[in-house]
Amino acid sequence: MNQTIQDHRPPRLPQRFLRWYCKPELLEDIEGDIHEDFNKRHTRSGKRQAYLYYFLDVIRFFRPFVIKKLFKTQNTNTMFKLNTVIAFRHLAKNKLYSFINITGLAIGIAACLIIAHYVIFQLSYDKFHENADRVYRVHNNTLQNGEDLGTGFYSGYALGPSLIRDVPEIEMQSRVHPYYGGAVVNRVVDSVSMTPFREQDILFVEPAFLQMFTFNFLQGNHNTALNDPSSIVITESTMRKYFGKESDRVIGQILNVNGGWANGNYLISGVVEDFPANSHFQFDFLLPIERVLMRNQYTEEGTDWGWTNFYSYVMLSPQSTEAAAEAKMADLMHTYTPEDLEADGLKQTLSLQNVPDIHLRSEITGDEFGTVGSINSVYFMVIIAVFILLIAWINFINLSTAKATERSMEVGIKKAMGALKPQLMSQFLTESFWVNLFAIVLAIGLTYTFMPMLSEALGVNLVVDITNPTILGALGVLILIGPLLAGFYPALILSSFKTVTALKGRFVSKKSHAFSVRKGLVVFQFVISTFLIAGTFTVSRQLSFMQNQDTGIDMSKTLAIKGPDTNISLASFESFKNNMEQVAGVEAFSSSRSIPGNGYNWGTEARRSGTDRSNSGSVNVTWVDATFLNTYGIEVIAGRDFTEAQRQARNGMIINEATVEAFGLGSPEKALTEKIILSGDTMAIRGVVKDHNWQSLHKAYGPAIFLYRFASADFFSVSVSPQNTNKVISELEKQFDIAFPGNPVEYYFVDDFFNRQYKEDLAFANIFKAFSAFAIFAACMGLFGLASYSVVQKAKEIGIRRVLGASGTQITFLFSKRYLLLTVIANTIAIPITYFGIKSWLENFAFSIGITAELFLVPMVLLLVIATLTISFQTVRAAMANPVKNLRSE
Amino acid sequence: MKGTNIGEFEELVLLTIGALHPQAYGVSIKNEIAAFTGRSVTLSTVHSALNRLENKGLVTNHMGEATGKRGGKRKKYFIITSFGVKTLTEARAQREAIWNLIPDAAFKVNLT
Repeated sequence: MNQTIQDHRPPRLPQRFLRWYCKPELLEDIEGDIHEDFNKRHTRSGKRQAYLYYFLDVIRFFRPFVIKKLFKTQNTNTMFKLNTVIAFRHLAKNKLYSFINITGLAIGIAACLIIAHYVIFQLSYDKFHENADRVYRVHNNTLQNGEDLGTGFYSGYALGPSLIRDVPEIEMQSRVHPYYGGAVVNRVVDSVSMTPFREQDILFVEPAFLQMFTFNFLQGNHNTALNDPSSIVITESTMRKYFGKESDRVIGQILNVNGGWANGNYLISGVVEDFPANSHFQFDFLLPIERVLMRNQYTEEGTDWGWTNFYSYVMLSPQSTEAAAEAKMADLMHTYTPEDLEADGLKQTLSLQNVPDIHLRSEITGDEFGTVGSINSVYFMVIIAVFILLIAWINFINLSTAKATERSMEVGIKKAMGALKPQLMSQFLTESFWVNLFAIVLAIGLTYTFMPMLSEALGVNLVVDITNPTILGALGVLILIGPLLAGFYPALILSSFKTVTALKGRFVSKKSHAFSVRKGLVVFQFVISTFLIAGTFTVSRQLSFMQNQDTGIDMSKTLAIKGPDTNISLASFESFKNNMEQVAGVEAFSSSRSIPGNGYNWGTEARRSGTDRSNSGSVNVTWVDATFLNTYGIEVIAGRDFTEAQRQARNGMIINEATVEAFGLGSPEKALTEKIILSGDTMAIRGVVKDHNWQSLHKAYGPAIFLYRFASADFFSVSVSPQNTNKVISELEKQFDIAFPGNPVEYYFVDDFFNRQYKEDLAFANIFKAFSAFAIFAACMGLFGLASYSVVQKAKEIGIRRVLGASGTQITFLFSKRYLLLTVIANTIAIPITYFGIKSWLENFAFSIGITAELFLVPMVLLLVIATLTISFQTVRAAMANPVKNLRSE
Repeated sequence: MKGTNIGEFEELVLLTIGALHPQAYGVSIKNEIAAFTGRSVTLSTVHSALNRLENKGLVTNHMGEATGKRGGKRKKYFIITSFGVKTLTEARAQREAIWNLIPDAAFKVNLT
C-alpha cells in the first residue's frame, strides 16, 4: 500500500440508492467505508472494477439492520382495517342511505356492463374468421351523369373470374348466388321423400368460399367438400332438423332441393358448425355454384355481365393492400362493358369492403343481408352507458355530501384529536371503496339477471361473460377509479370542516359552494332524464305511427300465403283459386310475385318514351294479377286496373304517382297518354295508382310499376271478412294441401308481415326504454335521498312551523318547492338538447311524426310528476309527523 | 439479549477490534480479518457483526476525524467495552478448560 490513494467520485446511482434506503444514523459510517474501499480499488484495479464493487457493496448493505422504515405497511394496514370497521358501522347504521347508495350505483354499473356486452358483440362481427383481415366483399358504386345512384354488391357472374385474372393482389375469390325465393328441401331415403321443409338460407358458392371463411367441419373436409357438383354442405342445426337422432353419420345421405334454381338430389359432403350470431350472413345449406351456372339464364350469350344476381368475396394475398387491389379493379366494369355503361351515362367504380366492417359500416346504399347494425347506434349505446354511470356516481356524491350534517360531529372530534386532513380523506375514501365494491358485486348479479331480458329485446343471444378481457378491464377500472371519482369530492368536503364549527354542528352555511355543486349535479341528472324520457316517448310514438299509419294498402284483413315450390301447374293453381274464391268470407283472391313488405321483384331502368337513355332512372317492378289492386285496396286515381281479358302485352303497366313525377309525365290523367320504355320495352300506361308504402316507412315513395301476370306462384293473397277468419284459414290449409301436395303451407296476415320490417326499430325502442327506465330510476333515487336528508335536517323547523299553525300542505309545498325548481331548470336546459336528438333520429324515416310541442311537454310533465311523487313521499311524512316528537329530541 | 454467547465471526471481529485498538473501524477490521484468516470478508458482513456486537453491549463507538479518502465522511471507531472484555476472557477460559480436558490419546488417533 505504498501507492497514494486518491479520492474518486463514486457512481451516482448506487450512492443515491444507498442514501435512500440507509438509516440516517448509519449512513455516514457505511458510506464512508464503502467509499474508502472504492478509492482503494479504483487506484489498484481501475475504475470499472471499483464501480462494480461499489455497486455490489451497496446491494449487500441492503439488509434489515441498515434499511430504514420505507413503507409504513403495518401502520396503513391497521388504518385501513379501522376505516373499514367504521365504514361498515356507518353503512349498517344508515340502512336506507346505504341501500339507496349501493343499489343506485349497482344499477348504473349493471347497465354499463350490459351495454358493454352489447357493444363488444356488435364490434365482434365476422372477427371469428381466421383470415378476416384480408377477406373483402366487392362493391360497385354507380354514378349517372355525376349523380350518385348508390353502392351495391350485385354483379354478373363474369366479374369473379375477371377479378382473379386482372388483379394479382387477389389470392382467391368466390362468387355467391343466393337461392332467391327459397326452396323446399326434403331428405330422400331409398328414393322415398321424407317430410319437406321450406328453406330460405341456401347459397351457391365456390370451393374457395370454404377456404376464405372459417368453417368448423364436424364431418367432411373443407378442401374437397364442394368440389363435386352434386355435393351439398349443411350446418349442424340443419342436420339435426333433417336427421334427428341419426346425426352421427350423414355424409353421403341424399337431400332433394326443389325450388326455382337448381333442382335435384344432392349428396351431403360436409357438416359444419353453425355460424355464430356475429356473422354478417347466415346459411343453412351451401351448394356448388356450377349447378346454378348451368341454367339457361346464365348460359345464353350476353348474360355474363347482364344478370346481376351474384356477389363476390375475395381474399387478398397477405402482403398486398386493399388500396393496391382497389386501384387495379376500380375501372374493370368499363373494361368489360363499356358500351352499355356509356349509353346509360353511367360511371361504375368497383371497391372492396373488409368483411368485419360490413356489419357496422356497410357501404351499401340499399338492403344488406341479415341484421344491420350501425356504428352510430354503438356510439349511442356507449353514450347512454356513460350517462347512466355518471348519474349513479352523481347520486353517490350527492348523498354523501348531503350527509355532511350528520358527520360533522365525527369530523370535528377527530380533528380535535389531531387527525390530519389526509387521514380523514382516507377514511371517507375507504367508505367509498366499500360502497363501490358492494355495488360492483351486486351489479354483476344484476347483469346475470337482466341479460336474458335484454337479449330478447334485442333479438340477439347475448351471454354474460365477465372473463372477457374488456369486461374485466372495465370492472378493474370501476373498482379503482369509481371510489376515487365518486368519493373524492365528498371526502374533500367532509374533511375540510373547521374543527370548532363542526363541533358546534353549524358547520355549513347555506351559501356554501358544496350545496350549489350538489344542485348543479341534480340538475344535470334531470337534464339527462328529460332527454331520455323524451327520446323514449318519441321512439314509441314513431313506432306506433309506423305500424298504424295508413299505408295506402289495406293489410289488416288480408291473408298472404307463401306459394308452392314444387308440383306447380296452371291447372292446380286454377283449381286452388276457384276453390278459395268459393269459401265463405273470402272477398277476393289474388296471386302476385311479391307482397307489401317483401320488397319489389325487379329493380331496373326506365325512361319516358321519346327521351334518350341518359334520362333513364331506376324503377322497381312487381308482377301482379288483375285482382291484386282490389284485394289490397290500392286506389286507382286515373285509368283502369288490369283485366284478365287482355293478354300480357296489351295490359301495359300501372304506375304510381311518384313515377309520374320522376319521369315528367305531367298529371296522372296526362300520363295515360304517355309511354314508358322499361328496360328496352316500350309499354303503354294503363293506370295510375295513389302512392302507397310498399316498403317500410323508413323509405320514401319511389317510382314503382306494376306489371301484369295472369298467375304467379310466389304469393297468394286473400282478402277475408273479419268474422270468418278461422274458417277461411282451416279451409285454406285443406285446399292448399290438395292443390299443391308436398309443399308446407305458410301464411300470415299482411299487416303482421309488413310490421316485421320494424323488428330492428322495435329492438332499438326496447333498449331505449330499458335504459331510460334505469336512468330515471337512478335519478329519482338520488332525489329521494336528497329530500329525505333535507327533511331530517329540518325536522325541528318543521316542528316549529307546525306548532305555530302551518298546515301539512303548506309544509309539503315549502319543502318540495326547491327540488321542483331544480327539475324545471333541468327541463329548460334539456329542451334544446332533446330537440336536436329527436330531430336527427327522425331523419332516419321518410315518414315521421314530426317534431311537436307534445314531444317535449309530455316528458316534462311526466318528470315533474315523478319528481313530485319522489319528494313528497318524504315531505308529506315529515309534515304529518307529530311536531312534539321532533321538537323534544335533542 | 442472548446472554454472553457470541458467534464465531463475532468473536473474530471482537478480537480484531482489540488487536487494532484504537484504530478499529469498518474497513480496517475487514482488512485485518482478511489478512489474518485469508477469508474474503465483505464490508456489509463486518458491519452487520458490529451492529450485533453493539446491540449486545460488547463494543462501543465514537466518531473520528473526517478524511479525504472517504468522501469527507468520518470514521466510526470501535472499542471493546469492559463487558466485551469479560465476555472474551470468559470465552477463552471456557475453551481452555475444555482444551485441558482433551486427553492426548484423542489427538493421536487423529494423527494416524
